[in-house]
Amino acid sequence: MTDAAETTEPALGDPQGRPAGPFAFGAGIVLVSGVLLSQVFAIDTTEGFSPQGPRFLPLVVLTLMLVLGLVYLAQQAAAVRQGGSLPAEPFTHLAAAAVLVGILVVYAFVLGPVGYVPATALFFVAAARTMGSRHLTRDVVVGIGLALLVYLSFTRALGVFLPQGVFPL
Amino acid sequence: MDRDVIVVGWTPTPQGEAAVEAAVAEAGRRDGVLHVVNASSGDSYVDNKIASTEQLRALRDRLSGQGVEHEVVQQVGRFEPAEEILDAADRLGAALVVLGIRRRTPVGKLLMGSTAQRVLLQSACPVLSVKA
Amino acid sequence: MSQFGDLMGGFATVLSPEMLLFAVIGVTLGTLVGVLPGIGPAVTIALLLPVTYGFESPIPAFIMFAGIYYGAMYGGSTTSILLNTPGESASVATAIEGHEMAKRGHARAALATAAIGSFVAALISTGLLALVAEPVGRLAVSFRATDYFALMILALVTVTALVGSSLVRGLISLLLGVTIGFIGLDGISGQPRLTFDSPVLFNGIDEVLLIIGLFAIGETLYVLVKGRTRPGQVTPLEPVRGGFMWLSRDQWRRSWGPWIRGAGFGFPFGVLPSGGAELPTFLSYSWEKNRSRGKQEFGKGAIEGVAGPEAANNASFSGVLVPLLTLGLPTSATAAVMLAAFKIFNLQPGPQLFEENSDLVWALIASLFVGNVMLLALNLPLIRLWVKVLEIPRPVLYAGILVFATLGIYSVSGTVTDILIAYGIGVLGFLMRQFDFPIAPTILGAILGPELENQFRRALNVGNGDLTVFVTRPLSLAILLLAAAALLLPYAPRIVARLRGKDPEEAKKLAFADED
Repeated sequence: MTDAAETTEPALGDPQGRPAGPFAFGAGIVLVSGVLLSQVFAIDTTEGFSPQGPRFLPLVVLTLMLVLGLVYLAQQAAAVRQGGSLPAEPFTHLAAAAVLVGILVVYAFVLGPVGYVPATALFFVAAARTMGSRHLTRDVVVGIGLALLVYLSFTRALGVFLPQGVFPL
Repeated sequence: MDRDVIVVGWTPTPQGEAAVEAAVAEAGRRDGVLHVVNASSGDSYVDNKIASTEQLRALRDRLSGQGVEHEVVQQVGRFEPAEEILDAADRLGAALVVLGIRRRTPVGKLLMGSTAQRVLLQSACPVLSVKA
Repeated sequence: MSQFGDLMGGFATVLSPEMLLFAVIGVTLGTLVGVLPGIGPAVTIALLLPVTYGFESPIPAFIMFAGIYYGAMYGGSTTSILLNTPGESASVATAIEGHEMAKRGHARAALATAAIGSFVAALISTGLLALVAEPVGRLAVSFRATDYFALMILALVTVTALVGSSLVRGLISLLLGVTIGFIGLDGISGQPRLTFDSPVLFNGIDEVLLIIGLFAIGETLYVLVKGRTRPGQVTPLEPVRGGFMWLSRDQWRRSWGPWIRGAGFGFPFGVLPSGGAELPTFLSYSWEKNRSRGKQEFGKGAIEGVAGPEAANNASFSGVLVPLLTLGLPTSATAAVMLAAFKIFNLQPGPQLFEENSDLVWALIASLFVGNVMLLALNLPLIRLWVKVLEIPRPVLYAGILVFATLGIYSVSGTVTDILIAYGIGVLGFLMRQFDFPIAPTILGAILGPELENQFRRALNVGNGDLTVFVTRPLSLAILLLAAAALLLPYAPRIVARLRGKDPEEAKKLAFADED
């Protein structure tokens, strides 16, 4: 993936930035609190909502979180009305970030069957490319070196198990 | 009649100084104009090859003092330095590219790549390389 | 002086080749992560937790962790001074005057006063720690469940109130963490909670997954999305001008006062739950700015502005260890991770720790002295090497961090599900950064939450389910009132301004960054 980014200063999102992000995040908080709150009622107990029982504190905490999520949304709405929005960094390279998460997930799945060293070397190269590296040779050399170094030092010296996979070392 | 454009890859290092010195001499010989490029891919947290504002001003003053017609540009975070130099040479129809070089270890070249090597191999015009 | 004898015993443990090796590993790794922006001691310790599973004794692990923490403080000051990019939030104050000094050709003096000041402060505060730890531990024996509950509330609330710029967002972060702590089988009734009936979640979410996800993976995604920033330039070190340890006689004279005052700010604020080292560094900075002999030099590179904050941030760590060791109460993200480490070794920090594992405690305290001597020796000569680390291209650096993050997660359990959970938490950490939600309260909430609930329910069992037990015991009530006051603390400047009849808009809210 090539990535022809301009130099950006590490500033907070511009005040005229779109408020959609914080709204979505706030809605997410409210939604998650609501869903988890419904799970509190699914906790099996004979003690009902007695403070000593397993339901009481989760109920209190999630209710508070739900309320605070709504307050956050209200703050955001108020800020928009005044022509600004709550702090949010601009999403400039969201596509690359999504690709990176995809690569991470693939890495998680192939680590066991393929083995630590080849999976890690491939992951390293793919991740570095996604983050804008344009030196393939360098990435391959560093990736293989790092994977071997980690594998040997962790399995031999520290006794941590890592999958051997298709190339036995 | 257009004057020759000489593109110089410059960094605030001994190599960069050597390149500028050679380019000034060359410009005098051909009555050319200098186009100085200071570039970084902006990939790392620290890059000592990027010239500071003061260093850029000092270079401009020096070139003016020597009576050389010049343009000094800095480009950070767009391409690799080699690509920036080749791009400038291409755009301006340069007659010559001047580079400062230094000894590199094979491992260093493998890991970090060599700007000089890329420019030498890919440039459409002659390249003058000066060892610092 | 029984403490002195115990401390000597600690030194005897630490000064063996094996232990010294762990101390060297710790301080080196710590300095490395301290130099790197965005990665701090908390995530480094979390990454190393799985490695320590195989250790027979917890002592080398804790010696290494203490080294990481102090190393990160030293590393953070190096980047603050030479680059004006503080590697850690606790080094922000140092950067203000330190970078000015470097620009004016006093880089060596700034680095030296920071390193020696850190060392002096660490010695003072570790000495204080050795003195007060045992008495506090004895006092803690008389604490009841209601007091512990109140103390934990106080710790959580103050950290939340002081970290980040909005109380609402901070509290959401905190409650999110506490909620994550609920997931899994309830410790008392054995019932699964918030698991959606999935047995995968019955054991809860491991702290290591949470910390690596929120810090390492969240930070990587955040750096990627933010895009490139203009690389900085390292201010060159001037030639050595003589003087003793790079400081002239006059600089020594101007430094020692701020060092001792800085230690004086750092230690108590570390002991009190105040979110780590940021607050005392800024207090020290403003004290020196307004009162010290060099105050007219502030803004132009005053050595006092480097010496004081650096001493304060190091002293606060020994302070943080007091509630951690004596009460099991972490007051910063790093301390929370160390608490997780105690759990791995089946150790219960608290009053009993000093009786049952006094060799561990005193070895840890002795290792703080040893680690600081090492850092003083290592840091100044190796500055060029540390700075080189920052020349690594970001894609390589962060791809490497992801490799280590996944390694850390994998070595916890080795299941794909756990890796995916940690990645999911990483995306959450990324979103929290994007929308300016602080991370530290989530970590503290998740690690302290289960213990908080234990004490809550234990107190209620003793009091037959009567919720008033928390307000009828004067000590608990006092602590809870303090916690309520702490919620208002960030607004204190505004409230004071209003009381004085000034425009409250001018008074900014007290806020501190939270990375570690």
